[in-house]
Amino acid sequence: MHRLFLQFTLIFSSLAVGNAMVSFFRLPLSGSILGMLLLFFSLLTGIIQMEWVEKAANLHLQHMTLLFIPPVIGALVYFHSLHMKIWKLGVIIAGSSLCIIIITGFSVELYEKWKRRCNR
Amino acid sequence: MIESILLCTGITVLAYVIGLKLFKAFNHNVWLNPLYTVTLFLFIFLPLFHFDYKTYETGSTLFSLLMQTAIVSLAIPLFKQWPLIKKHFKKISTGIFVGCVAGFCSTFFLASLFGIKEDIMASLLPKAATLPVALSASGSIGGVPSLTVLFVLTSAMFSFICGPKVLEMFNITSKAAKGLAMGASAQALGASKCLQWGEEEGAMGAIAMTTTALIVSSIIPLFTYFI
Repeated sequence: MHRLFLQFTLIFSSLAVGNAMVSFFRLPLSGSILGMLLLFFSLLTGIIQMEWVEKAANLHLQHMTLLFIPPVIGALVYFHSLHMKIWKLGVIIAGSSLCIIIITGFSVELYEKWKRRCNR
Repeated sequence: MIESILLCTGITVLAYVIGLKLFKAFNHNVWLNPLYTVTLFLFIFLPLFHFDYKTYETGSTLFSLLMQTAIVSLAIPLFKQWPLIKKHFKKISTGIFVGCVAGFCSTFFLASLFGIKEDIMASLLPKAATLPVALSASGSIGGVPSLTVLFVLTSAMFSFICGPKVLEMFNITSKAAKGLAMGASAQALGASKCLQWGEEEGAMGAIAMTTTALIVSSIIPLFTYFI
């Protein structure tokens, strides 16, 4: 149990350093993303070993659903007071999701075809 | 303040544990995902316990902090995927980058077409990223985070249901293309679908989720100049 706590402290420190760097250098990034990149590069360079954070991180990611519950309730409450045509939002969400699927798929396939032609 | 944090955290965790038990008891039925059951349960029963939604929201501070550490924890899957990402670096980065830009452009275009207000547009833009990342990105460009939650979840559900058919319709058959497309649009849900197709698709789906989050969060700050 205390090992899990120590591992979590390490993750939390990455977040704190990330947040501090963002506010100090006035970076246009969120502190949590910078914290993630910091942890990632520390793992890559071996400053932090995988075993030092793995357990806590996996537990955290496994139960990420728990963290979404309060914002979803907030969304339901907010949606009650939102006076706008919901179908418009539906069209935007559906349209851009389709765009992402089709264009990502096509560009990957195009890249693969182009690569194969180069290799020939 | 502290009282409401304790109450909110306690109630939510308790409901989540029960919801998770139910989810496991019914063999991980998709519709019994704790996210739906617990949210619905709390949404209906909070007023019955004379628990105001506002108090509940102010009490959820601990969860927003944990959301940030959850983003940091994404470094672990990213690190595990790194050898595969390095091997297919150009393919993955082209696909995801082009896909993300297409997502931004289509959202921006459709929203301007319908005359959507700025704050709602800002909540729509980061919806391709995984939930915690989208939340912080939305807040940073003046969006309404709780709306972003709804947009992220509906677009993930939509892509999860329609994605496979769309890929088939457009004759996209390469394993990497399918995995990346599903992961970029439906995040964790899409990655789980890809895992059913095969190992390579599954790995690509998971990679797409993390890289989309990275790219979205690095492009989003540019939109402060547009909105």
